[in-house]
Amino acid sequence: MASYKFVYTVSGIDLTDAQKAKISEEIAGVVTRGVLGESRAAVRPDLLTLHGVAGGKMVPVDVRGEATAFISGGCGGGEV
Amino acid sequence: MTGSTTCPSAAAEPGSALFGVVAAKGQVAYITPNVPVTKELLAILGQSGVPVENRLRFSGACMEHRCVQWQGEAGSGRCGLIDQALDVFSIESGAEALPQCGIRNTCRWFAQHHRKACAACPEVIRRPPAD
Repeated sequence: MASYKFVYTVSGIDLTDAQKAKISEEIAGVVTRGVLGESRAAVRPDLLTLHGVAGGKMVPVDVRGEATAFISGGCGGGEV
Repeated sequence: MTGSTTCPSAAAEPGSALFGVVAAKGQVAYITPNVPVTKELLAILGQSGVPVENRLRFSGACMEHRCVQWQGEAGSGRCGLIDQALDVFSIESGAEALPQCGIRNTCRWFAQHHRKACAACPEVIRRPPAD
């Protein structure tokens, strides 16, 4: 399995937590843009298309077309 | 709040962490170490035109019985989402090579199904596109 490691070290100054957070955020943005390139359209997973299961909440097959509404609670945010 | 396991299909909100980018359907590029999610990070990603919860994967604390996916009683149940994902894809063996995933040590799905969970994980997208 391919794996790529990019290492950058900032030295010589003391960074504040805010500066470190900003750098981390920017790196995350760059990685995301780099991986996705121009392909940023939403994808429809087979798990939902073929089996009616959404990552946020299971969706019954007969209401598959209303998936977006059904996953609004989402994993970790649902009510009991 | 919750137990000590991590949900690999959490919402994109401050307190969660970015751990993967959905490169294509069924393909996730895992990022290690995970990137803590802040409002600023979500703004940066949003400005890029990325459908955040569709093309990115976030982790957060497993909410156990407070989650709609939870099957069973509080403290003794399991995540029904990964159970169903393995079932519908008929995954009976684990992934041969595991990616450098930053949450495996505490992953709820890995705790339940070990390497088989890693085979199903890339197939999960939290928020599919609206039709």
